[in-house]
Amino acid sequence: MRTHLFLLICGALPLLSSCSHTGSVSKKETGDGKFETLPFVGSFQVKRATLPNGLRLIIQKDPSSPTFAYQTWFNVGSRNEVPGKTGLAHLFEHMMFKGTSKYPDGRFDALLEQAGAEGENAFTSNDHTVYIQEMPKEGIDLITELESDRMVNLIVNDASFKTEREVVQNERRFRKENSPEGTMYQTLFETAFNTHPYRWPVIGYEQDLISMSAQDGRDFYTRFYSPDRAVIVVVGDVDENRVLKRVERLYGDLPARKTQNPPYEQEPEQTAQRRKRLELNIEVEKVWLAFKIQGLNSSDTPVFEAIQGLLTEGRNGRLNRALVDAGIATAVGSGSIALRDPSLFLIEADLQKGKNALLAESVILRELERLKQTPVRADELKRATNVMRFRFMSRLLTSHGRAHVLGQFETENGSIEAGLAQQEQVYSVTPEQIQETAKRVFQTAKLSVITGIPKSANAGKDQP
Amino acid sequence: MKTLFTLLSIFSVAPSSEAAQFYFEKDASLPLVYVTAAFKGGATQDPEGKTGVSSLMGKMMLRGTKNKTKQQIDLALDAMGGSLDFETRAEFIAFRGIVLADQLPNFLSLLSEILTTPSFRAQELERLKKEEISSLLNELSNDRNLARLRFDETFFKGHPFSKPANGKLKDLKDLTIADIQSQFQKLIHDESMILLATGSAENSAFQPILQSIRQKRPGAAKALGVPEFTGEPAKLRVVIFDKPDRTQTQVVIGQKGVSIRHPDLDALQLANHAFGAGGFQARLMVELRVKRGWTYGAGSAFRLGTTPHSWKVSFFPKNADTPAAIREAIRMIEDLGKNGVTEQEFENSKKSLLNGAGFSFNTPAKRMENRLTEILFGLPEGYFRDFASRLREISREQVNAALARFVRPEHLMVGLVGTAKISKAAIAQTLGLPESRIEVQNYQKE
Repeated sequence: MRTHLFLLICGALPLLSSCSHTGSVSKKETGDGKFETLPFVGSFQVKRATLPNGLRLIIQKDPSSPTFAYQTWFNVGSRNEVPGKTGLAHLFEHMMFKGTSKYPDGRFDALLEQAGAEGENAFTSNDHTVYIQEMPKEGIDLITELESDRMVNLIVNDASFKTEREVVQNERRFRKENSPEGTMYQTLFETAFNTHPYRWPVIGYEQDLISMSAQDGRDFYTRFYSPDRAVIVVVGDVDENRVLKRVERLYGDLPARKTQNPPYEQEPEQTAQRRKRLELNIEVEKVWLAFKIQGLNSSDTPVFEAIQGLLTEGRNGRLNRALVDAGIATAVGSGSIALRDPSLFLIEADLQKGKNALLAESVILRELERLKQTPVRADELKRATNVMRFRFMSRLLTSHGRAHVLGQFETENGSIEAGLAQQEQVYSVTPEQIQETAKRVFQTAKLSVITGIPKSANAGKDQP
Repeated sequence: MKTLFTLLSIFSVAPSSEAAQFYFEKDASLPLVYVTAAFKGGATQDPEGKTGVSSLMGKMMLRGTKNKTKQQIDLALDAMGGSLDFETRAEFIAFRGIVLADQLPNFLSLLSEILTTPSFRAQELERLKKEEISSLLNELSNDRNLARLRFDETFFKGHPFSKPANGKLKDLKDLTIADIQSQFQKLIHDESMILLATGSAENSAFQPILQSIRQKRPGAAKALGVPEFTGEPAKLRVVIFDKPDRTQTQVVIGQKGVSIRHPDLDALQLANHAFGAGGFQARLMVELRVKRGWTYGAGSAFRLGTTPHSWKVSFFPKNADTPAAIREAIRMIEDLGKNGVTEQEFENSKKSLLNGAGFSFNTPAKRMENRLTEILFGLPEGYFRDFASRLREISREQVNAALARFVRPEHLMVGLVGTAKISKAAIAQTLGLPESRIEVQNYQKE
C-alpha cells in the first residue's frame, strides 16, 4: 500500500474478509446499448460494459453527492510472484505513482491533489492490486486520462525504484517487524502454507526487496498490467454513457496482453496440526487458530460467514460469551480470509492479563466442538445472519465502500452476480449446513495455531 | 473559484423544543439509521487520580440498566440488527449507534433506558476493569499509538489534555462504583445532550427519547471548561520512550496548537496542508519519503479543542535514519515559521482545499458529525460548509503572518518510541545536544 494514511496492506484481511449482501439477484437486462443493467442492493442499480480488449467497466450512479469513487482492480497480486522476488507486486504498486512521458514524476499526484482528490490510495493483496481515488464530479475526465495513461506508459527508472524500495522496507518494518500482529500474520501464512505463493508475505521478505531491480519492475509491469486484467469501478454522480465513451476512447486501444500466470504448486492437503509460538514485545498473550478451507468461491463460504456471525459477531457471539464475558480475553474475532485458492478460517483472541493462550485455545476448540455436536438453534442462527447482513449494509454506506464491494464481487467472485448470489446464501444457511461444515473443516489435522507470548515470559520455543 | 460543493444544501435541521439539542437529516438510500447521543465533558473532566472514569461510566451504562442485565441488552441489540458503542474524547463523550430502520423505535427505547436508568453493578465493574486494564496493556504493543499517547502525557503533564481517554493503568484499578455514579451525575443531563441522527426515519421518531431524557435527567452539567495549557518546554525537549528491540522509531514532534475558534485557524490549516497534510505533494512527504525514502508515512495535523491543544508532525524511519530525519523535520519546521509557504505551495494548497472541501460534508453521516463539532465547540452553524468561502478570502501574506505568529521551534518537544541504547547518542550528536538533554523514559511508564 502506498498510502501515508497507514491503512493495512493486505486486502485479504483477517476478520474482514467475508463479503456479504442483501437484496435479490434478478435476471440481467440489456440497456443503453453496450451496458448490462444489474440490480444491486436497495434501490441501487449497476451498469456493466466490457470493451473488446477485455477491460470491464462497472458504474453505479448515485447523484446524492457531487463526487464519485474511482477504483481500478487489477488481477495481479503476490500470488503472481516467484520465490526470490517476493514483494514485487506490492513494490510495483508503489511505482505506479511515478511518472510517464506525458505526466513526469510528481505530476500525477499534483494534478489529483489540485483537483481536490480525496483518499488517493492503493493496496495489494495476495490476489489483487487496487488503485483508489475519490473526486469531485468534475474530475472524471482527469482521472480517466491519468489512469489510462499509467496503465501502459509508466516509466520505471532505477533511481525512483531504489528510493521506493527503501520506502517499502520502512513499510515492512512498520507492518511486520515492529508489529506483533504483523509478525503473527506472516508466521501464520508461512506455517499454514507449504508450497502455495500465499505462504510468503504480500509485502515481501527483506532480502528479496534488497535484491530487486528496476528491471524486475519493468518486467512485472509488462506482464501483468493490461486492460484484460483490469476492472474499473465508478460509483457516484456521473453520466454513465459519457463515462463509457470516455473509457472507450482512452482505454479502448490499449492492447490485451493475455499474459498467463506463472505456474505454482498446488497446496497439498494438510494432514497434521502445525504450531508456532512466538516471543513478542507484548504485555498480554495472543492466540490465533486457523483451519485450512477452500477458496472464496467455494459453496462453504456463506456457511463460514454464518459461523463467523455465530462465534464472534455482535455482542452475543458464542466466543464473546465464552472468552470475553468469562474474563479470559479482551477481544475475539473470526472470519474466512478472502483468498481465491485454499484459504483459512481464522479465530483470534487477545487475552486478559495473566490468562494463558492455551486456556483460550481450549475454550475455542470446545465451542467448535459444540458446533459439530449440536445443531444451532434457529433463533441463534437468525441473530447471527442478521448481524452479518447489518455488517454488509454498513459497507455500502459510502461510494468508496460500494465501489470496493462491486470490485471485490467482480474480481474475486468472478462477477457481481456471483458475489450477490453468494451473499444471499448467507441468509439461508441451515443448522445442518453449519454442523456438516464444522465437522468436515474444524479438524485438528487442518489446524495451524500461532501463539504470541510476552518476551519476558521467556517461554517460547516452537512446538512439535 | 466556486465549486459545486458550495451549492450542496440538503441538510435539514430540526431543532427540538426540548432542552437537549436535536439534529436530524433524512436519508432513505439504505434502510439504516445512524444515531449519536453526545454529552459535553470527556476525559478532560476525569478527576485527578481517576483517569478513565468517564470511559468506564459510559461502558458501564451499556452493561446494565435497572431492568436489563448486560446480556439482555446485548441480546436486544443483536436482535434489532444494530450496534451501540461508547466513545470518550477529550471534551465530549458519545453513544454511537447504527440500526436497521424498521427497528429504530426499539433501539431508541433501549438507548433511552441506558441513558436514564443505568444500574452500575459492582460485579460488572470489576469485570470491565479487568478487560480495560488488559486492553491498555495490549495497546502498548502498538508503537504508533503509544508514541502519541506518551507524547500527550508528557507534553501536557499536569494539564487535563494529558489524561488519556481510556485512563491510566494505575488509576483504573482503584475506580469504584461511587466514582462512576458521581461522574454520571456530573455529565449525563438533558441540557448537556446533543442528539443527532440521519437515515431512513422521520423526525417524529425521536421525540419520545428527547422527552424521556428531559423528564428523567433534567438540568445541565456543571461548568466544563478546559484551562489553557501554559507549560510548554522552555527549550527543545527530546524524550525517548524506551522500548527494546525496535528496528524503527515512531517519532512525534509537536508544539502547542491553537483553539478551534482561533482567527488564524483557516490560514494555518492551509499552511498545514502545504506542509504535511496535503498528501504526496506536501513538504514532509516530499522531503522525508519521496526524495530520501526515510519513512513510509509523514504528516502533520492540528488537534483542536476549546483551548489550544497541539500541532504535531509524525513519521517513522528506521533506526539509522532517525537522527537525520528528526534534524531535517526540525529544520523544516523552523523554515516554515521563518519563510512561510511559497507562492506555488499556497496556490496548490488553496486549489486542493477548495476543490476537495465538499468531501468534508458530502454524506449525511459527515454532516451529522460536523454539526456535533459545531455545537460542542461553539462554532456557528455551517462552519464546515463555509470553509471554502472563508478560504477564498485568505492571502498568502495572511498565511505566512499566521505562521510567523504560530510556529515556535524553540518550544518543540520531540517524543519517540524507540530503543534508547541504539538511538540516544546518535540523536544527541546529530541535534548538537549533550546526551544529558535526551530524556529516557520506559515505554510502560505512564
